[in-house]
Amino acid sequence: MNIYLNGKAIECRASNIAQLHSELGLPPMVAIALENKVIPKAEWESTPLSEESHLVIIRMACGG
Amino acid sequence: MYNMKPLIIAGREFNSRLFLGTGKFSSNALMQESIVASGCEMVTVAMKRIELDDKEDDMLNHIISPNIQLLPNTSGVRDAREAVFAAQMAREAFGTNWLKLEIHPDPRYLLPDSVETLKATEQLVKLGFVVLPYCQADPTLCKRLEEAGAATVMPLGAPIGSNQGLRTRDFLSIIIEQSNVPVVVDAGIGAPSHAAEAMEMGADACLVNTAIAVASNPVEMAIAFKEAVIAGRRAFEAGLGEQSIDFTAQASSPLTSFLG
Repeated sequence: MNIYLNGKAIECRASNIAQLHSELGLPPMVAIALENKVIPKAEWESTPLSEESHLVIIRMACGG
Repeated sequence: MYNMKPLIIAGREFNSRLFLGTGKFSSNALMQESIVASGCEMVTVAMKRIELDDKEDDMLNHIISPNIQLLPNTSGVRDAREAVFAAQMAREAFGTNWLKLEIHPDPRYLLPDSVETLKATEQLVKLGFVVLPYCQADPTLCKRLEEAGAATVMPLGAPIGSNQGLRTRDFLSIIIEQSNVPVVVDAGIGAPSHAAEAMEMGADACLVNTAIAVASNPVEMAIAFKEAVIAGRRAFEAGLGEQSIDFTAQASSPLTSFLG
């Protein structure tokens, strides 16, 4: 299906957030928000994705 | 042997009063070496949106250690609403509820927005975060942040990355005198002497990034800052002598009758 990741349209096979995390090969320490709501890791498996879902995914970076 | 008083923030004890930022180092390896050399026990980290073709070295491997408290920052947010979202993302990503709250919408001076910082502190404390707000060197604001439940206050010495030193010196003194939470001087510290001065004034800690990261030899500079912070704190705890109100000398040797 088609989803938006950090504003960019991408195709994915995953039907929930846990599957998307693994499909994209993301590092473990990331945070994911769906429709601007932070989804705790414990709820990744039970949070379904749907066509046109908007996700924000962040990771650690260097900073002061 | 004389031991300096440990610093306690939100129940966690820190033996080092120097905190490091992780920005601007030329490599992650150099950053790691500088962190180790500095002896610091708290480092700030930022967040960024992932890019799928991003193949850069994962900086986490260079800083994760049981001795080091991670302090995610909210750099990039423009108001309290965005700060709360960023804080919740940071808590999920890094597994810590500690947060360097920074809200500086103005890109030229990166000066913190006091109204939004206070508003965000009130909300984040209620959500269970340990909030260390980067703030203006404003004594009234610092009291308000303390009342809102901030774990420290982190007033600036000068704008971020400016290396200008303690331009807010007199206001920092008032903040230190009045504060019931630790005062961490953040931003603008450009030389070990600036850090030593802040510590001599009674600041509880200093947060340094640019001055170490952009030095010709960051590892040596990290050691210089470590020593300066220790020297300044020791001097504060030892009790500095009073300054004369003018340049009149105060003899330190007996002046009478030496040559008859």
